[in-house]
Amino acid sequence: MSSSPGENEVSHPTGRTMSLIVPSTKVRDNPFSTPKAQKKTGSVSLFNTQNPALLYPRSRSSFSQATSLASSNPTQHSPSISPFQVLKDNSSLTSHDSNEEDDFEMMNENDEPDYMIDDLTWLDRKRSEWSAKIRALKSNKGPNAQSTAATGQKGSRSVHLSNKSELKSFLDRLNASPSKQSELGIRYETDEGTINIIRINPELALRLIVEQILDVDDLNTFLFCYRKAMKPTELVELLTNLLSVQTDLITNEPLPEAHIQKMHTTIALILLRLWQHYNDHFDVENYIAMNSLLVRLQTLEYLKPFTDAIEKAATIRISELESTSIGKSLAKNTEERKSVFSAAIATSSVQTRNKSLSDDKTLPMKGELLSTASSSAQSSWRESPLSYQPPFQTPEAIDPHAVASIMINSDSVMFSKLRRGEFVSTAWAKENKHLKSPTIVALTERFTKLSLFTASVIVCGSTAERRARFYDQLGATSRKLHKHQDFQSAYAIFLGMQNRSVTRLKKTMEEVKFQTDRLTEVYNLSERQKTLRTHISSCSPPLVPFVAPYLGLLAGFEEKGGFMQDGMADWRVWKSMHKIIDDLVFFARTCTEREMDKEAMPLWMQELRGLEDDEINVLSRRREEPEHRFIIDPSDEDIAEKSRRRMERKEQRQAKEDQRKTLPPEEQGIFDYDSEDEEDESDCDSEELAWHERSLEKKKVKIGVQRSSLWEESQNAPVPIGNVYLLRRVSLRLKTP
Amino acid sequence: MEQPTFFDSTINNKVTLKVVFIGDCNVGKTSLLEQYIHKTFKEQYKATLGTEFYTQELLLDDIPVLLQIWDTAGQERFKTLSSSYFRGADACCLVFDVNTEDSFNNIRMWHDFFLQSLDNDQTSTFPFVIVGNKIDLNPESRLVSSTQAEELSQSLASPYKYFDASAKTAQNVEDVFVALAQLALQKKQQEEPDVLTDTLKVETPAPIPKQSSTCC
Repeated sequence: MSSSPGENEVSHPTGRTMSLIVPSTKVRDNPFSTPKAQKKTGSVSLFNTQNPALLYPRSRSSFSQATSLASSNPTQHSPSISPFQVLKDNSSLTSHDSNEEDDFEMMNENDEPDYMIDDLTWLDRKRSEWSAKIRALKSNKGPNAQSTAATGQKGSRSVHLSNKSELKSFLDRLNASPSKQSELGIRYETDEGTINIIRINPELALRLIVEQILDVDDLNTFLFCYRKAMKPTELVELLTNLLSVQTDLITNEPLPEAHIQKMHTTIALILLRLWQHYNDHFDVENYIAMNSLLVRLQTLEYLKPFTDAIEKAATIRISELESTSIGKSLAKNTEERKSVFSAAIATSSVQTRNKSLSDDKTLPMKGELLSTASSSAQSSWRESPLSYQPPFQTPEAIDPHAVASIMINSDSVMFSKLRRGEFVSTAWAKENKHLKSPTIVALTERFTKLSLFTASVIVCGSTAERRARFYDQLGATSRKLHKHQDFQSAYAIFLGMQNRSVTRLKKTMEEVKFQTDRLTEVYNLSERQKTLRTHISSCSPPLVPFVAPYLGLLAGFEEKGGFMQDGMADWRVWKSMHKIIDDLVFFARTCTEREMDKEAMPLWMQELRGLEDDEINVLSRRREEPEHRFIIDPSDEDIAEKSRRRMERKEQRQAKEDQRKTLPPEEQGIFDYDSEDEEDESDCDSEELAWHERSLEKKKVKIGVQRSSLWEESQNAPVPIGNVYLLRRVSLRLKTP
Repeated sequence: MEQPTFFDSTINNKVTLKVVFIGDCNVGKTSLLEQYIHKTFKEQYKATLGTEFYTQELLLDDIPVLLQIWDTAGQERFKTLSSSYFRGADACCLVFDVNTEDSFNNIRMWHDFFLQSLDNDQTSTFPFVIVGNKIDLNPESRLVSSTQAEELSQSLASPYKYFDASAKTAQNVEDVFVALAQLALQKKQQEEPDVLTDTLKVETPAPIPKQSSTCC
């Protein structure tokens, strides 16, 4: 379709010529940053305007043909089939140059959708009128003010009070929807009874239903977040009722056909978007809801083709789901669900299962390759961490460039599968997270595995020098990954290098040449890794972000709600959530997805076999047994800090002493308390020091015996150490000059 | 000249205590923090957005402490990342939802995971506060009783404290944080016996040298 702003002529199915308004081309680069390079040009509409049947489906036959073709040739469907794909499979009806689903996604990025009208003058006039009236209504101005606002607009009408009341009652109807009152928005109950704290406020309603101010970003934001307020079926029911009005709410004039069609298109958009959400979170419960929705919506003739297509896709999906253990368990939850579940399948026109589809599904997806392989990796070292053999026999075997290349490729494949629905309601941390947020979970698991793998490789080095070389090579790999904008793996490796079991190896760290200053600066944890997020915002895609800080932000939003104290939807919160997700999804889509050759992929990369944290800890202590002062004092920073403070105090005392000496002898008495203290302390030092030295020698022997015996007895258990605090004090005293 | 009070003299020498909040997603960790810090529940977002830790000053038996509260919301699954948040913690708060059995069952996992990231010599005596959140919900929906939670807490940690709490109604929220601060301070005192003497040293005003009365 057209890729430049302006007006184009397209043919309407009715034979009329219409003007196609193409919004200004939106340039979008890194969504966090100011536009740098144009990623996409032109605008893409929801529906293929070259295919009138899709734009304004008049007859069911064409869609029936499409769906029947789709169902008769089901091998072309992917496991997560969508109605877009069902429609797409009929090449005789569609002439798409690109994937319909992609078109749909791309359309979401535009500021506003393309739309087709046949009466521009009328629409311009109405837009002016409605905008003025809505502004006036929102600012609670009287009818006069509204009239004033509308004055000057060509063709504007005076506003009758009755019409305003009608609009108000219209909004009241929205807020007082019976279905909404029944079970919507109840998050908490108090002693006073149930409080329905969630409502859709008038502003939000206007944003959603009034065409003139409908913004796609707003719509998408709402569609992402609406589940906090209502069920999908209730949303569609609500919006269908509202959008199906045939007359102008202000003037009571019959709406032109084009306007009605536009509203129908909007409903279809919502319906398809809903389906997308269903597809992302497909389970029996959702299917039941969707099924009941479809039954209701099928009464609307103009939605029939869509509902049919969705029904086909849903049936295929549910039959897939049925074969999985999750589907079975869900289906067994209640008899009622089971019956609906069975009934839904029985009524389906597609009874046969897509065998090849199921076969494909049993194979790991490209993005799942690593996680599935690694999860299956169980080997003998679990019984004995010391027998763990890293894939790299020598530090030189790690080629930072080659390793980084492989990682970037596999990370891109995995990350490119990220979908919007995976972020809904922190699904990545909830039940069935593997089903609902497969990509996020895979990324998470891979991050942890890679981090532990890194620490394992370093700790497994036999000598301090060897471990240091491993450290250097992996550091270089991390830097390379960072440079090539694979922040996920770069940080995973870097975190592995910062593992406590690695950094405690003093001899090793003395040998290390790799400087971590830059990475430490970028990946510091403050403000949910704001430095990293800022850095990402300055990069141009493709890139693989480290998603944890973004998940943290989203979880923060989720925890806080998204509704204000008066129960109104907090639109800013919803928008913020949507923006984060929109940006991540944009990154995912701009990640280059390439076919991974499983055979060519190194085995170590597929499995990422590393030790667990406690095993690394044990191995680390085997490599360099901690000195006594290390056991006694958990961190060297503490010792250094203590020493520093003691030195400072000593210097202060010395300074006071010097000052005292400068005073006349009769005034030196004022410092007597100091000198006495010091005298006592020095006495204590001289006497106690000898005692502590003797005591420490005994303790050393005692601890040494205790450690050596216990160490051999249990490899995994931490060594119990007694009298830690006493010994620590002794140690500090001994260190004091 | 007015003599400085004890509090005035120590206000700039607070003991900093790091406490960490962990638990399953959506159990209300952030809400508890919000309630304690801002005394709000589901307020609009302010400047705190994006912050992963909050600070709060409080007096414990006349000892001024600066409570540094770390929230790992949403990043719990990145285990190796979380462990870097845990370093240097003085106390840990394990949060679960009394209406979600899974979140309660995962408390032991979180406890073990937290201890793994500590040094070995701290594990046996590390203080925990366990919080069962969302008790304001319908009592019938409650799946974890206080007794169950208390028993688990007792088996997990020593010292420990358990609280039923509600981030929404603010019930016991203050107590949770005070208990956390107390336990953290105790631990700090055990580790560094001179932490208070170092930080709470009352700066005695330097005596004014008396003029020698040699004139007469």
